[in-house]
Order: sequence, then C-alpha cells, then structure tokens
Amino acid sequence: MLSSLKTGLRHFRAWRTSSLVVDSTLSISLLAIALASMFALMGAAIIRDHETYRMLRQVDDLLSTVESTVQVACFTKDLTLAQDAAKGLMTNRLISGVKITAGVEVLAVAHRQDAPSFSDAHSVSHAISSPFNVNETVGEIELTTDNDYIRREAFEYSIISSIALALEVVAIVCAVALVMFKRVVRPIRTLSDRIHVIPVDSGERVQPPAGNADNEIGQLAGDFNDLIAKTTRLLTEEQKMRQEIALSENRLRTLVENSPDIIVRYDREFRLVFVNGAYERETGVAANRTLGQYLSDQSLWRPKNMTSDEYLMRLQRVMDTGTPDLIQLEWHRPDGQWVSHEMYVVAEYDVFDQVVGTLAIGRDVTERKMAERLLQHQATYDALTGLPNRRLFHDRLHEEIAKAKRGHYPVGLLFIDLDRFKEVNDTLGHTIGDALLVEAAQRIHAWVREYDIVARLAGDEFVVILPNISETCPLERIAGNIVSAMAQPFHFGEQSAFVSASIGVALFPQDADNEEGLIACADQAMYKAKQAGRDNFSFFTPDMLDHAQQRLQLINDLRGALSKNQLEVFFQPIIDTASGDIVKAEALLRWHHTSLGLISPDRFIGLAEEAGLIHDIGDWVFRETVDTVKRWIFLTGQDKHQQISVNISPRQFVKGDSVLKAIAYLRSSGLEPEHIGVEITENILLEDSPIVNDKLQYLRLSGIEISLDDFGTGYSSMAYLKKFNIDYLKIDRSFVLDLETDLSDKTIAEAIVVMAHRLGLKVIAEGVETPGQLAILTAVGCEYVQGYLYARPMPAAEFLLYVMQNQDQRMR
Amino acid sequence: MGKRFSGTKTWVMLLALILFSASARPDIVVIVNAASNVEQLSRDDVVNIFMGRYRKLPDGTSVMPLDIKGDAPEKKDFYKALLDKNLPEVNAYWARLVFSGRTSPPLILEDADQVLKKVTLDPTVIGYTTDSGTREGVKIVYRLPVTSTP
Repeated sequence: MLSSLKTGLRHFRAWRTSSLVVDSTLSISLLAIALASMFALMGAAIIRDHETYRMLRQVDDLLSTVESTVQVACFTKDLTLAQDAAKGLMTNRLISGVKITAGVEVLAVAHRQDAPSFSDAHSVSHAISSPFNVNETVGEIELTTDNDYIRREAFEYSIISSIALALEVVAIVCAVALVMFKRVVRPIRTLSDRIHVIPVDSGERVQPPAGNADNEIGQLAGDFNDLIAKTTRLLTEEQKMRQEIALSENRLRTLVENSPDIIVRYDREFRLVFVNGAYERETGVAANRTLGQYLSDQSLWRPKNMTSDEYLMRLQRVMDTGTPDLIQLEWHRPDGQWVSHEMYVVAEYDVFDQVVGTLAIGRDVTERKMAERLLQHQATYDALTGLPNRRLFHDRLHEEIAKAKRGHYPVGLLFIDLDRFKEVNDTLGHTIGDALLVEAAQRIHAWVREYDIVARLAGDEFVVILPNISETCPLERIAGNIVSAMAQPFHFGEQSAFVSASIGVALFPQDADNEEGLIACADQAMYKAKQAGRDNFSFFTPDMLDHAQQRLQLINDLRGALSKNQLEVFFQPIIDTASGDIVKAEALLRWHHTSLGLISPDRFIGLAEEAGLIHDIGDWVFRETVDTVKRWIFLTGQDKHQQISVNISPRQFVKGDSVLKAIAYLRSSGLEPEHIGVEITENILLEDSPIVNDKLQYLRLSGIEISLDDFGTGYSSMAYLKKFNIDYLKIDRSFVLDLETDLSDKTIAEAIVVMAHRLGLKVIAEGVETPGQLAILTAVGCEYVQGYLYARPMPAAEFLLYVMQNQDQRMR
Repeated sequence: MGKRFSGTKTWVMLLALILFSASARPDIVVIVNAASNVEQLSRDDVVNIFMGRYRKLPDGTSVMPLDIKGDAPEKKDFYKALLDKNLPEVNAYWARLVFSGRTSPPLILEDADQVLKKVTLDPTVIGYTTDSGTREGVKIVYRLPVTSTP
C-alpha cells in the first residue's frame, strides 16, 4: 500500500501539473472537501438543534422513569423517597435543579452547585398524580434543565459529527483518487509513455497496459493504433505527393529559369513579383533589385518604343478584359545590343477566379524585327542611293497630299530625268553609272529643303515632293538649282561624265487633286522639258494633259488597228550601187488611222512597245514580209538574191518569243533564209544580255542576215560589230542629208564605210535623195543605197509592180 | 355458516362467564370495629389509609390498616377491586416506602379470620374481608364489589 503510494507520488511528480487526470482528481478532491465543509457547517446547526431537542426529550424520559417513585413520594409525602428521586435526577447532567412538592409541602429540593444563571435555566413543572388515581394530583415536580450545558453538548456533538463527516468525505475522496489513479491515471500514463516512444511512421503498435486490454483504455490504444496507421498512410502519401510536387516545381523552375523567353509576373498593383533569368540577362537588372518594385519605376524601365504608362495601361486592359495582348517592347541590352521582344501578356487568376495580376512572356524577336526592317527598308528604299523607292514615294506622296488637303497648302512635285545617263552607263560602265546616280541624288538633296522628300523611281528617274510651297522658296528656283547642279561635270577619279537633267514640275492642287494625276502631270511636264531640248525644267500646262490624252487615245486605237486591217507593210527598195539593180528592200510599217490618216512608225511604234502590242504587230509584219519576198521571187526569178529586211524592236528581243516564231514561220514557208534580213538597233547590242545574245546567235545560225540600223547616231561601238557578227551597217539618214555640204559628215560616212569593209561588213546608206549623195556614197565604196532618189516606201503590190518594171527596164 | 356458529359460541361463553363470577366471587367489604364512630368511608379514604398516606379516620381518630399475609384470594380481590393492582405491584409500592422508613405498610396478619378477629377486638384498626354474612362486632364502612376474576 505504502510502496504503491510512493510510486504514485513519483509518477505524480513526474507528470506535469497540467495533467488532465491529476487536475480533475484534485478538482474533485477540492470540490468534495468544500462540499463536505459546507454540509458539515449546515449539518452542525441541524445536529445541534436536533441534539437539543433530543436532550430535552431525554429530560422527559428521565422524568417518566422516576415518575412512579415521585408519585409514591408525593402520595405518601415521603421526604426520603422524594429526595432519593431528586438525587437520582440530579445525577443527570442535563438537570440543574429539582423541586418536588406535595401540596404546600416541599418534599425535596436539589440544585447543582455550578448551575448557571437563571436566565439560561429552563424549568419544567410537572403535576404528579396519585399512583392510584390518575385524576388526583398529589404533588408537583419542577425540573430545571441546564440549557447552557445542553447547548454546549449539542455544539460539541455537532462539531464532532461534522469533523467525522468531513473526514469521511476526505477518506472517500482519497479512496476515489487512489482508485482513479490506479485504474485510470496510471494506465493512461503508461499508455501515454508508450505512445511517446513510438515514432509516428515506424508502423509500430502500442500495447495497452496489462489488464486493460478489453476496457476503454485498451480501446483507446486500439484507436490510437488505427489513427497511427491512418496517419502513417496519409503521411506516406503526403510525403510522396510533396516529393512529386517538389520535383514538379523544380522542373518548372528549371524550365522557367532556363527559358530563353523573358518571364515576368506583375501583381494587381503592377509590382514585379517574379522575374526569370532571361529578364535579368536582357535588362541587366538583378532580380533582387526588381522584385517588389513598381512597373512605373523609371530606373527599371528599359523599353524605348513605349512608355511605362502605356505599357501599364495595356496590362490594365488585359486584367479588365481577360483578353491576352501582344506588346512589342524594344530596348538596348546591357551589352548595347538593340533587342526587340514580343511580350505575350495574360491575366492570372486565383482559385476563386479573381484576377491577381498579369504574366508577361517576352520572346526575343530581334532577328525577325531586324529582318523585317531590312525587308521593309529594301522594299521601300533604293539600295543604291538610299533614297525612298517608288513604293515609298507613292505612300509619302499620298500622305503629303492628305496633309496638304487638311492644311490647305500646296504641294509641289518634281520629276527629274537624267539626260544621256544611259550613254554614261554604256560607255563608262555600270560602276561609274551607279556612282553618278549616288552623286546625282546628293546633288538633288543639296538643293531641296530638309523636309522635302527625294525618291528614286527607276534608273535615272528621281522625284522630289515639296510640301508646303511658299513664296520665299519658289519651285522654279529649286528646279533651276537642280538643273544647274546636274549640268556640272561628275568626276570619278580620272574619268568625268556629263549628264543633264530634264525636270517636270507639277503642283497640287492646281494641276491635279490626287497623287496619280499629279505624277502624270509632272511626267508630262518632264517630257515637255526633254522635247524642249533637255537640261531645263518645265511646268505642267493643261495642253500637256491633252497631249497625254491623245497618246492614250492612240494606244487604244492601235489595239484594234491590226484586226481592223488599218496596218499595212510598205516596202522601200534598196539598190545595189554597182549594178543599179533592186536587190533588197526594207519592210516599213504604216498605220491608216480612220480620223488621223496615215501615221508614221515614229509616232506609234513607241506606243506599241509601251502597250505591249509590238509582239503581235512585229510577228504580223514578219509574216507579211516573208509572203512578199516569195511573190517577189516568183515574179522576178530565183537568182537575184532578193532580200527584204524586217525591223525587230528591242522589246521583241528582250521579252516574248517573236524571234523563235519568226524563224519557225520562215522554215514552214519554204523560203530560203537568205531572202530575209533583220534590222536591229545598237541598243539591243548594248543590252549585252544572254537572252538577246542567244536570240541574235539563233538568227545568224538560221541563215538570216543582220543589219545594224541607224549607225552613227549612238555609240557606234566597233567592238559590238565584231562580237555579234553583223552583216550590214546602215548609215543613218542624218549623215547622208548633209553629205554634199558638210565635210565632216562626208568624212564620217567614209570612215564608216572603210571601217565596215575592214570588218567584212557591207554598208547601206539610208535617206539618199540626190544624185550627188549617191555619187559620193558610190565613191567611198558604199554598196547599197536606199531613199527617195529611187523610191518611196510602197505597199506590197506597188512594190512588186515597181521591181518588175525596174527589171524590165534593166532587161531592155 | 361459520359466522353464525362463531357468533353463537361467543354469546354462550360470555353468558356463562357472567353467571359463574357473580356466583363464585363475593364482594370485599372494609370493616371497622362496631364501636367506631365511623359509619361510612369513601373510596379515597380507604386508599389513603391502606396505602399509607395517612392513618386517620375522617373523625380524626388514628387507625391502623390490617392486611393478610401471602397471597390470599381476599387480598388479591381487595387490591384488585380497590386499586386495580395485583399483589406484586402493591408489594413493589411498599418496598420503596419501607426502604425510606417513613411510612409503614399495613399490619400483616396470618389470615382473614385473624383480621376479622382483630377488627372485632380493636377499634383502632381497619381491615377487609369477604362479604360472607353478618358478623358480630364489626361495621362495614365500605363495600368493594368484585366484578371480575383475577
């Protein structure tokens, strides 16, 4: 018992004071003691009252025990007996005084010595009846009780009773506590200790304390084991999940950190809450410097193409609408590299679908942007001069006219064409030509205002847009300055080149109210300037418009001319100077216009080329010629080496399959190829393109002879003659015209003939109109002549008649 | 049936009892010397004189009660009829008084005849006897009817 109490005490000390069981035991004990005390106090009063009452009853009882004696004493007035009775009564401590009387006679009187004062005494008188007759009163007994004693006794008794009660309660509580300790506290403690040492995830099971396997404590141990099992399972699952999450997070972080794309997260207040490595790299700002900072912080804002406020508004819109946005941001990287990023911005939401901020993913599109810019630049700027090209020119003109319309101010347009540039290119080479164009662009630039727009349209064509023309800087001065500047020689090292400029000037809105119209006007004015002798400028005038309209009308008419049989091939005989025989002819085209009459090729061949009609017309001319030669041979015989030459436009060489078609037609006609010749101009040779060369070569191989037309007017390059194996040179009529009066022309003609002969070529002189000219040409050795001296160009029938008559004359 | 029988039986028994006692037990009479001045005593007088309260007759003369020794039927009947007490009770009463020595019990005589003789001879005594005819020399001063068997 004692040892178990000691162990209990030790356990008790070992426990924390906050132990539930100890607490409750203590509480029960205290409460029990308190209740016991209360009951004891309350009980004391009750006990006291009860005891008082009991003692008073005892007095009655006492009295009844001596009553018969007293009866006898009173009956017989026996003093001795009465005193005996009184003495007997006095032995009881409750009684403090006895007085027995029989009638007037006092039989016995007794008083306690230590009797209390009378105030505390209580006297009870009792009539004594006769022992033989209850109705007869024989005396009286007066008992005085010692109330003080009674009270004292009752009080003492009550105190003792209460103490006993309290002790009982304490004893019971102790017993209960002991039982609780032994049966509840200690097993729980043991269980607790066992649970304490079990690691949660060990899978170990706790054993209930001995003898408690089947009760609540055993159940508790079982519940704990179940709980542990569940917890262990959950822990394992959670740990696994945690690992997976950690792995996943790590993967994501690696992904994000190593992403070449910039990843930035902003919160609702536009603070940077996350940036990845790419951000740091591209902006040169460390993450710890940016995090928590506001987007509007200008020390962090890098982009130059957009302000942080604009960007912020775009982000706000993404958050408001939930629609992703693509924002272009461009800045200079720390290494100085200009970079362009496409920021894909999306709104981010929390689990409650509330917008928490934005996520921006920036892809480096620098290369693409640069390529785009390059492409755009290439597409809109001329690579050689760096000037805007035709496309950009149109855009800018459109813009300027729109602005001018709003601002009600005039816009001037200069159309600049470099005269004789082609010759420079041909003679000095493309490198010099290109350098000249660059120089020309600079010269133009030097004479226009800063905000004027200079563009290169093509080749040697430049334009200048002059917005807001004012009185102080009139157009004519600018145009005049440019003309003067262009007239200055261009120097390239040893070499010098001379060109001039023809400038057409048109004005918005007085000449035209739209850009196409304005361009057409300036173009017309430029042609006018060219016609007026070049090296000058010309303002557009309304009659130029008429001329242009006429041209358009003519082109339209030309389109239907072939089908309407308005075109006709004329033939002009070529005479052998030695024999005077008609051995050749040149096919020349004529157009019988319904209202304008006969139109010369000079006027409409250019239009046909421009309108792309030259191919059909050329092919038709070739076929007509072949047919005519066949008839000529049929009429005059085979042996004359008759030959008709056909003019082939450079266009026909460069584009289309006219040459191939011609050869094919010739073969199918059965005509010997030597009866057909082809006349080309120097320009074709100057092209020096593989296509042209191949076609010329093909003509040669087919047996067709080639004449070089208009020789002497162009470059008259001897090298080409040699290279292309030309058969005939045709001296231009301009040399022949003054042959009799101008000595230099005669010299040139002679030089050409000599040179041609040296190269193995024969010479045909054009435009021979006088016998004097013929004589000179014959003298210098020119083989063939052609001109009014003999015959005009004639329709086929007339020509055939002419050659037959001529043959007849010769025969005669 | 049983009820009627029992009722009848009870009634017969009671009747027999009454008849028997009336015939078997004569009254007890208190007697004094015929020469006494006292003619009649009250019951209280008889009790007081016999139970020792005082020993005087109403005329003031002293008197000595006489009793019978042992437990004679007359004695039994007397105390029974007078005090409704049996003899042990009466003896116990006297035992207390004798102890104190202040009052003495009646003078005990051998039998009823001696009592009768004493009364006949001594005018200062008072005794009791059964009412068995007229006796010479005594005066009946109080009659105690015996109504019940002991």
